[in-house]
Amino acid sequence: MTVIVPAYNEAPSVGDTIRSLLGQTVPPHEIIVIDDCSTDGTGAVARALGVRVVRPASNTGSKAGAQTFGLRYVRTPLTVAIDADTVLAPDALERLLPAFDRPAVAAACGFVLPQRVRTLWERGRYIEYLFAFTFYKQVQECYGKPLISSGCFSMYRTAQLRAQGGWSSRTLAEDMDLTWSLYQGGHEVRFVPEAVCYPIEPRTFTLMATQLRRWSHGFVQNVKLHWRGLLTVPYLRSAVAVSFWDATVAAALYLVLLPILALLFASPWVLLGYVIDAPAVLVPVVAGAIRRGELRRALASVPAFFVLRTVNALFFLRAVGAELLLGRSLRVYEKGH
Amino acid sequence: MIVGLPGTGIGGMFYLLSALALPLREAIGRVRDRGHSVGWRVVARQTAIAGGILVGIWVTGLLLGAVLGTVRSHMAPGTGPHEGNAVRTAMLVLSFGTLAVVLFGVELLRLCLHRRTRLVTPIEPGSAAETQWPTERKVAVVGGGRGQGRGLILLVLLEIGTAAHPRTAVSQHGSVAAAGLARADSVFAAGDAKAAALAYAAVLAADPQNSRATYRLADLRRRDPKEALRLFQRYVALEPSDPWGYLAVADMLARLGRYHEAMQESDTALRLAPNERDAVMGRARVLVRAGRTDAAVVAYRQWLATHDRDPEAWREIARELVRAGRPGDAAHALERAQSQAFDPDVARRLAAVRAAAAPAFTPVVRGSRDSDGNTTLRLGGSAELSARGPTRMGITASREQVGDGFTTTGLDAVAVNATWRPRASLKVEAAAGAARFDGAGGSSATMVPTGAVRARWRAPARGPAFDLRAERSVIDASPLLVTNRVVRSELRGIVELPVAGGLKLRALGRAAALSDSAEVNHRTSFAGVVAFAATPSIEVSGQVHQLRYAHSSSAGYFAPRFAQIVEAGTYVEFEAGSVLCALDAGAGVQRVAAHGAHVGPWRRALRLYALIAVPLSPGLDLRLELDGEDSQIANETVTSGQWRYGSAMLSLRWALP
Repeated sequence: MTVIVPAYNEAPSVGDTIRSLLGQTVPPHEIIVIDDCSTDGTGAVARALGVRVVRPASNTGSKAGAQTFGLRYVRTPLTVAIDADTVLAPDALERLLPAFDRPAVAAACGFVLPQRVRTLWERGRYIEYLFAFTFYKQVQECYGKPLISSGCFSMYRTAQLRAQGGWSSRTLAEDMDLTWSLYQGGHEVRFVPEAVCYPIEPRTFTLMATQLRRWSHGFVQNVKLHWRGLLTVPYLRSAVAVSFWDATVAAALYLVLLPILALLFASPWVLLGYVIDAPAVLVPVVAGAIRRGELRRALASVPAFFVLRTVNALFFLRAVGAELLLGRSLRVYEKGH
Repeated sequence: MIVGLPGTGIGGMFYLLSALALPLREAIGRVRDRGHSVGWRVVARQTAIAGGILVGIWVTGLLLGAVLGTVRSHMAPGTGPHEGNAVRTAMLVLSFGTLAVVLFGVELLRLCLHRRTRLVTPIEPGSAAETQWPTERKVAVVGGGRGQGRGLILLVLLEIGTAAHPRTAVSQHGSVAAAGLARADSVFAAGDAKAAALAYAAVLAADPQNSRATYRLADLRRRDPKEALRLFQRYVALEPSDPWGYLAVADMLARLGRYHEAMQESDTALRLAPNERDAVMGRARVLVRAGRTDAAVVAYRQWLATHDRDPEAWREIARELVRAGRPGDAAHALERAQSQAFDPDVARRLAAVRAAAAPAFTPVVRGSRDSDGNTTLRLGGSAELSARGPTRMGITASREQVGDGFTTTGLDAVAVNATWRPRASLKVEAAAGAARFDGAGGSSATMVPTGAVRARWRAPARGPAFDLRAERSVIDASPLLVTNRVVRSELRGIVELPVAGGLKLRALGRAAALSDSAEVNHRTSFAGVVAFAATPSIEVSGQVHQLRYAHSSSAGYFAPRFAQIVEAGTYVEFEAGSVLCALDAGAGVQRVAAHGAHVGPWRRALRLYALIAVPLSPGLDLRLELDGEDSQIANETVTSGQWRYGSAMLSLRWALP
């Protein structure tokens, strides 16, 4: 396999990423860092660690552009794409490889957990990932339809990747776009929970807002782009439909209805609705945390999850309004972290 | 990325139900030996988590009930704790109901969007497509609905049955669509239209947004304009910047008679590609289909002004110029086409058009006989000058002998004719001349001026039509009429209004003064016609005519006080090889009331007109016209109350090279 690492001004983190790749139990054939015209010496850091660094003539404008640029240098049957701020568990690549024993599998992704869990936003994301990757994504995998092969760390069959034209910049969520395109192309995508990666998550609200804006708009753009094709993919169509419902109608009710009801009935008890599902959320979170020996950290982080969830709902609602109602599609790729 | 409201919302419910259904799915998968299996361990873990969540929900409900009950009892002592249960139940039902509605909506949408394309997909035994039909039937059962909860469970089971099913997945993938498209293209290139249509339909079943397959399939279904239009419109939606899509839509709309919309689509195509030949010519062709011959000629001329080496455009403008009655210009256009790309078929057309434009001489012989024993024999001819532009000039002359077995007389006629056709929709004909009656009974020959002006206008696109005529002519059906120098001066008008489809209404009005050496009589007649044109060359009609004479006459024509005719008529025109045949027949009843008498009984009335035109060689055309009447009051030349009549005319048009 060949690992491609798109990087724009990632000098502080790209070294850890490369070192984690070099320390894999099954080392890749080649590591290629795409230095997307960084100005902070990212290329030099990478080069110093002995990996190949390629640099486009000008900034490609997005992670998808840089990854697709890097794809032309890949000569192996499998391609791994990893963010320049993500480190892998030592056996992550080894764990992913068996997924490709099935010829129909075109992509596989692993379990994602934040590298750092300190701030409110990092903690919220930690619980979100713990919950989603322990329960949602695992159920999706059981049905053979993981919703997204995560952009921060995924392995692809190179031929299928090339057949798709690499990663497209037509949406701001290139990983979702690629995953859904692969499904519509009849390919399989796998989720391997044993292959763990650790990206750096936004530590401030500003960074989190940038990332959520990109993700929320990317999701709506992908729904707009793929909805007809998704209707032909069993289970995925339902998963996307309920996600879209929750991102739109449910989010609106969640953000608007509960306060209105609280005012209407003059009862603060109604606001319990924001955390009413806490026991239900806790079950998979605790299950996942126990397996990783992180129960205390998880329990301490649970309140942050509800804050992030509310903010998340706000951004998705705004994205739906902008993309679908106002026709203002977000096209500028902003780096969140 | 985690979308939505992780934990809450219907997403939570969806994954909870999915997890609870996992054991069943795994069991089914193992029985069917499906490739993808996550193993019982994973299934057990996820089911346990789902069970834990259920317990969590139950505990939450319990706590919520307790809290609400406590609050309630503090605020309003004496009320029971049961309201908490009601709230929990309502929330649960609401969540399940919403989830069921969303999932059901998705399935409905899928059926609506993909069923049609699947219907035309060839299904091979055991193929992936075949496996999709039971799925749709299951959804239909769910659609029948026995409650949302049950429907939800069925939907989840349905997803269990279909998710990750390798055969189903293979049928939907794009690379298969791409391969299918390549196969379809090769079949198309091989010329097997039927197989290609099936192949493109299969591609669309797998990839409904495939614009290429959409266009090709539409192209192959042009014989079904409605279906082709639907597909081309879909193509336009997929490729809104492609002018060829709009052109194809315009073509289909024009075929369906939706000319206004067709013009709008053509204009859009022209806006997108103003200098593109297909856009300009496509617009001209839509104008042709719309019957807007003049506008089509202008459109072709605009193109040819800058692209005069386009033989196809020359040929097409020539066809329109012929329709516009401009054979001279048409011949010039065909000559230009032939000079650039010789075509034997076009050479034949060119010869015919040249003959139509050339100076010509047409000898005519005509004879008639009626039930009163009157006979006529006319020998004559006409000469036409070469057609230049919209005007054509000519001259006619004839000598006619009229007899009744006892008396014979005759008359000579000469006239100068002009035809002016400034536009395809307007034709004006004029004639001016004189008729010279032979002297009889010692009287000298008499000269009578004759003439006619006729203007015909028909709106483009089979719109309304008007035909106005003013005429002064002699009546020569019998020696008595010729001897009495009966002259008819008449104004005639016809208005035709299209109603819908081929249905049209026609109104006719005539007012004539019949004068002879002793008196002037007046005749008025009106008619209403309801006609239906099944095709441009076949028409059936129902007609009612009524005419009145001011008084009876002894000049030799039958002038009743009042006459009514009700008849069914038909007009058929067809070509047998190069021979043109036309038939105009009518059958009905009529009744007559003579002056000073009661209205008579209804009696039969029959009429027949037939035309046969035979092109003997380029520039030499033989024409035979037959006319017959069995009627009490067929027209103004009727000489008695019960009358039969037959005539034949033979002419040979000889175009001079």
